[in-house]
Amino acid sequence: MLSFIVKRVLKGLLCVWFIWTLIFFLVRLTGDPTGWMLPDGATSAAVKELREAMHLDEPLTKQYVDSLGDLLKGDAGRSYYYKQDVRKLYSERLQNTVRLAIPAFIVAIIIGVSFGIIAALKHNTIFDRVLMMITIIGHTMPSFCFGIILIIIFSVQLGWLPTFGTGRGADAWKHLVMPMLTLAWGPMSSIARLTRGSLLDVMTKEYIDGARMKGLSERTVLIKHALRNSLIPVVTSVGTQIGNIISGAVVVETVFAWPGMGQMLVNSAKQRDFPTVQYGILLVAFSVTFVNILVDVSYGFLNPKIRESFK
Amino acid sequence: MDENIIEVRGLKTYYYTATKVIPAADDVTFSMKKGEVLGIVGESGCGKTTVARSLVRLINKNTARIEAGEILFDNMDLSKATPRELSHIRGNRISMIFQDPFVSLSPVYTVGNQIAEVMRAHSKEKIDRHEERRIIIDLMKKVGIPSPEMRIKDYPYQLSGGMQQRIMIAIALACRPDILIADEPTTALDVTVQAQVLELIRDLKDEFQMSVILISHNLGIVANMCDRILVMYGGAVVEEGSCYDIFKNPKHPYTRGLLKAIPSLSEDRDELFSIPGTVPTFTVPVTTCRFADRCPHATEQCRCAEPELRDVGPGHKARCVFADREWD
Repeated sequence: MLSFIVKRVLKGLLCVWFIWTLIFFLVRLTGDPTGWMLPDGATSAAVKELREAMHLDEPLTKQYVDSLGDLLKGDAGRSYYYKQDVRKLYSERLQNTVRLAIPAFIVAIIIGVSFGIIAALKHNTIFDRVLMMITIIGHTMPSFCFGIILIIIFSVQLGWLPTFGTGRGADAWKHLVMPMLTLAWGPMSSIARLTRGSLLDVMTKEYIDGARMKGLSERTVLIKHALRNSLIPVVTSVGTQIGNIISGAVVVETVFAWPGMGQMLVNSAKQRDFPTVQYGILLVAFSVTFVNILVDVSYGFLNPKIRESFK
Repeated sequence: MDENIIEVRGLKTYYYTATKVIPAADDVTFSMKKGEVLGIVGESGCGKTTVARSLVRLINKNTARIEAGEILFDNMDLSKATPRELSHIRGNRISMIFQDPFVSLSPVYTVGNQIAEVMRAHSKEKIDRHEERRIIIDLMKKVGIPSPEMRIKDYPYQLSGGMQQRIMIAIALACRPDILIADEPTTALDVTVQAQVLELIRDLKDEFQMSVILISHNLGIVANMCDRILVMYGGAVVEEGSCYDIFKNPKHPYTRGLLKAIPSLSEDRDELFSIPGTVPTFTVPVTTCRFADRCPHATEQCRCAEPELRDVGPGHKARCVFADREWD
């Protein structure tokens, strides 16, 4: 078990390093940041001087080795645009995104799984149909569209909820509700549909009748045998949903002017703010990898065949 | 030995599809004595599994319903039993083993755990952990699992099909049931393993003093194991009798067709015999002899009304208007 986790963590780090390397070279393909940093009509001598100051004149390999070395020492560089340490720059932003993403993730799982279970148990009834209709909308409608509809209903028409920002103190939850729901909506729908399908499938399996034939109550059969087996594919998909939530956060943060990481990533990419982009991507890669390790480990708890590979 | 342990009277289980109603078990009546082995034979889709599952109401509520009939067991009518009463019967007084062991065990629990589950469900007081483990290992030894101390922690996928079926048998026998229903228990297994599993069921039947309902499409298996046999066709019992009656003195053309279809080593045949045609799907109400379309002797009379299941000898019944006739 322990060696499995160690192996998994090492692989994860390797993956994160690979992504960071990729992004390091990719951002440098987008152009020269000095273009916007100097006023129009700057002399080529001034440009050259700035490039030297930013070490952009050095060969790519040297830049890469230096950056990686700094990163390992805990120095992620300074933002070209904000002129400050990118780690400081992200610390508050990261908190904001976490404050948005974690509730969205939890809501997506809880509501998604319960909707899926209800729909499966009430298969072919009006409940099932309505729930599946809702999730089809969630599946197909882009999140920015859903967010704007929420804004029209709850902010413009009813005036209950604010349209942008994180808010402070007691009001903070009001600011959180709409972005969080918008972010949770898509993953929730996927999870609900998958749970329903998986549970319906498991309920037709012979071992469910086998469990009934032991004289267990329908409730025990459902919870102990049907649910546990049907959640195996759901847990797998939850791992991929975390990626969807983080990429979705970029869009949702823009719609609701939520000062999170996503927004900052998009802006700094536009400004060719290399260190900021690199560090942002690094954080995203880290969190996705970490959650996926958690998912893999919990998958093993559910599925004995996977546990075998832990040894 | 003489009292009936279970009596089924006029059981009708119908399946409902979007367009029609299919009589999967139509007016099935039989009884079984204590310690007896009753075989139910017939082609796929003849209703033998439906009958067996109806006994413990293990049928899909969305597509099937018990329309009529009584299932008398221990002064109770199981066709009208409450879920609570059924829970008490299932796995405890009546057990079942299924056709395909690969899908009949839950993949996420150890086999020891799955045997323990049925014991816990039916024991009145809590069993001590060590005692429980001892009983389970004992049981696994009885069903012929080598080194049960190690196997007890295995998951079903770590065992072979034969071993999984043995686990199913251990689960079925854990509470010492009165009746064991074996629904094609060997169909999914290799031929060599089949014989071992059947042998095991026969031995354990004596040891546990159970009655067994053995469902099979394999007449050879039934001939070896059973005291009495029901032959089913299209949802109805077409012949019922002792093993001797069915094999030596079959009265229904369908039974004779089945027996003729068994390949024989002593006879030199160029082609294997098969009953012409395929099993039709019936819809209610059935107004002809179900076998008329495939029967070599069918007359107008057979197509007018469904014949009664009538006595043709002591303890021997057949559903054919010509059952008294002597054929070649």
